[in-house]
Amino acid sequence: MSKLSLRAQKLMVGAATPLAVVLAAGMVYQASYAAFTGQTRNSGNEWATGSVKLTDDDGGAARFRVANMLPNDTQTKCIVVTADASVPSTVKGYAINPVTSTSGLENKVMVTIVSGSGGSFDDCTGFTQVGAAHVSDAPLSAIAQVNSFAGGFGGWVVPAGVSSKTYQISWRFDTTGMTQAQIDAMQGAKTGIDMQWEMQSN
Amino acid sequence: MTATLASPDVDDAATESSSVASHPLRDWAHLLSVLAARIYRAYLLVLVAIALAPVLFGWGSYVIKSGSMEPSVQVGDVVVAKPYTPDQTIRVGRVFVFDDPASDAAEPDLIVHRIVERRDDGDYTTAGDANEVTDITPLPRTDVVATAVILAPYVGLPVTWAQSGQWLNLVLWLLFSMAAFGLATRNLAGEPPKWGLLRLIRDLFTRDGPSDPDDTPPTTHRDENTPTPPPRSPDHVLRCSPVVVAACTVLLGTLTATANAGFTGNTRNSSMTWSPGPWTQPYVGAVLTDSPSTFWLLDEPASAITAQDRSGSNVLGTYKPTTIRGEAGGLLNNPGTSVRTTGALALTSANPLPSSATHTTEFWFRSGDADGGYLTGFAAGSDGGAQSVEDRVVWMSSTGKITYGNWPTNQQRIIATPLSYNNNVWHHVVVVSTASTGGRQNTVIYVDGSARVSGQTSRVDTYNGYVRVGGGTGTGAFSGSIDNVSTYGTALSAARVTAHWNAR
Repeated sequence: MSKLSLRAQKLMVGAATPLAVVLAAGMVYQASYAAFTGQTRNSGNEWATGSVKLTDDDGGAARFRVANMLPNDTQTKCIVVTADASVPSTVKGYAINPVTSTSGLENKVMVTIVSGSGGSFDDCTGFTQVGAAHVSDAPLSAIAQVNSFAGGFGGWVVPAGVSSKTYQISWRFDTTGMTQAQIDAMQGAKTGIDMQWEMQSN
Repeated sequence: MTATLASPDVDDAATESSSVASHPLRDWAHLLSVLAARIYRAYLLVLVAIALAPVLFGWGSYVIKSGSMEPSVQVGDVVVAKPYTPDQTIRVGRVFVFDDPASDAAEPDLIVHRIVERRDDGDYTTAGDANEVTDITPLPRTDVVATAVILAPYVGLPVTWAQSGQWLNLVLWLLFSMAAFGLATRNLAGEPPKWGLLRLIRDLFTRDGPSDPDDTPPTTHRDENTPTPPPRSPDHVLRCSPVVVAACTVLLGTLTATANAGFTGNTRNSSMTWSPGPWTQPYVGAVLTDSPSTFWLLDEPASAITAQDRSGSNVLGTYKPTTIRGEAGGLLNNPGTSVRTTGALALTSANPLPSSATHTTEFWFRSGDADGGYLTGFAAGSDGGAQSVEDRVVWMSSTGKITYGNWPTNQQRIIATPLSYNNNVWHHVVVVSTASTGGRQNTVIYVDGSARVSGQTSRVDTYNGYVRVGGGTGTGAFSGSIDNVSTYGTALSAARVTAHWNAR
C-alpha cells in the first residue's frame, strides 16, 4: 500500500463533508419524490402483500337470515375470525349498514356477542366462552350505534403471527310489552345489519 | 505489518491520538475511519436539519411509527408536511397527514396514508401502500391536517426506539454516534480541527505543491509558536460529542410529532336480516279463531277518535268525547290499553251493522261502582238519546251481578249471575245467546271462563243497528273500565270461552 500524497488526502478530507451533504439531500429528494408525488395506488402491485390480513370462515354466507320470526324465538351461531399479522395489532368488531324498519323491529331483536375458542361457522359445538360478553342482550338498534373501530367491541390484541378467535352471536325476538297494533305494524318489516371486524396495527 | 494487520480497526485509530502515522496501512485506516465518521456526522446533521428546519416555518414533522406505507415510507422516517388549509386542493394520489376519522378520541390520532379516491359524498378514501384493503372509514376534508412534502429517511428511528422501548437500539446508536462525532473531530493531515473544505481552499491558495504531513498550518499565528496543533484529547471528545448527539435527539423528540402509517385489514359478515312472521297476542289469536264480526282492542292512544277493528271486517268504532282512552289494559299477557267510561255512552260502531238471533258478546270490564249500569248493547242509533229499538243489553245490576234480557220488550225475561263482580278487578264476560221458543232467546253468561247462569231471556229483533258500549237509552250508564270488546254472529262453545279466558 502506497503512502498517501498529502494533496490527495486533503482532497478526500475536503470533499467528505460536502459529499455527505449532497448525498443526504439527494436521498431526501429521491425519497420524497418516490413517496409523495401523485400516484395511483395499485393494490395488485408486488409490495401490497397485506401485512395484516383478517379473514372469517363464513364463505360469504350471512350468519343469520331469519324469516317468520315469532315471539321469543332465539338462535345461537358462531363465526371464526382469523388474524394474520406481521406486526402486533388489535381487532375490534362493530356493526355497519343497518337496515332500519319503520316499525322499530330493530329495537326488538336482542343480540348477545361473546368470544372464545372452538366451534366454527357451520357448527358451534365445542365453543368455550372466554371473558365477559362483548354485547349483552342489546337491541340491534343499539349495536348499530357503534359503527367504527374506535368504539368497536372486543379489543382483541393479536400478536405477530396467525391467531383465531370464535365469536358466538345469539339473538332473541323480544316482544315484551308490544300491543297488537305494534305487532301488526311489524308485518312485512325487515331489519338487518352487517358485522365487521377490523384489524389495525398497534 | 503483521501486528498492525491484526487490529486495524476504528478503535485503534480512535484511541491513538493523531500521532504522525508512519505505517501506510495505519494511515489509511485512520484516514478512512475519520472520513467515514465525518460523512456520517454531516449526513446525520443534514437529515436532522431537513427534518426539523420546516418546523420553524410552521410546518409539521412527523416520525412514522408503523409500516403500512412501505416501501415508500418506512418506520422511523420523518415526514415533513405542509399544513392543510381549506383553500388547498386535495389531489388523489398524494400522501396526507390526517386525524384518524375512525377514532373518536379527543386527541388527534395522526395517520399518514395516501388518498386513493374521491367519494361521491365529497369525502376521500385513504389507504396504506402496503395494505391490501383501503381504510374503511372515509376521510372528510375537515380531518386533513397536512400534505406530506418532504421525506427525511431514518432520522426518526431514535424516536421510534424510545417510544417503543427498544432501549438497546437507542443506547447502541447513541454510543455509536458519540464515538463517530468524536472521531470526526480528529485531525487529518496535520490540519487543525476546522472544516475541511475551507482548509483545503485556503491551503490551495496559500501554498504550492504538496506539503509535508509534519508541516504546521501557517495561517494561524498561534501555530507559529506551537510545533503541532494540540490534538483533541479523548477527554474533550467525550465531553463534546454527547452534547451534540443528545441535542439532536432531544430536538428530534420534541419538535416532531409521531404519526401512524397503520396496517389495517377487515372482514365482514354481511346481510344478516330478520323479519317477523305473522303472529298475534295470545288472546287476540284466540278471539280471531272464532271469527268475530267486530273486535275492538281499545288500544288507541288518548287522542284517538276511532277504535280500530281487529276482526278483519273493518267495523270501526267511534269514541265519545267523554271517554277516557289509553288507560292500563286488562290482560296481563296481552299488552294494550283500555278505556274508562265517565257515566255516559263511551263508544259505538261508526256505521250500522246487521244483527242475527244467534249472537255472542264478549268483553272485559272492571268496576267498583255500587250503581251498576249499561255495559254493552245494540240499538238503532248511535247517539245518547232515546232509541226506537234497543236490545242485546248486558247490564250490571246495582249489586254487581251480570244480567241479560233487561231491555224494554213484551214478556221481559232476565237472567243474572249469582255472584257479584263489582270488586274493582278485571273480569271476562261472554254472553252466548241463541234463538229459543216464543221468539225468545236461550242465553248463557260466562264470567271469567266459566258458565255462571243460563236460561231464557227477552226476545231480540233483527235489524241494522249500532254496537254500543257503556250507555243506552234512559238507563244508567256504566262507570268503570272496559277492554277488548268483540261481537260474533255465532254462538261460542264453552270450550272456546275457556280458551279465550286462558289466553288472557
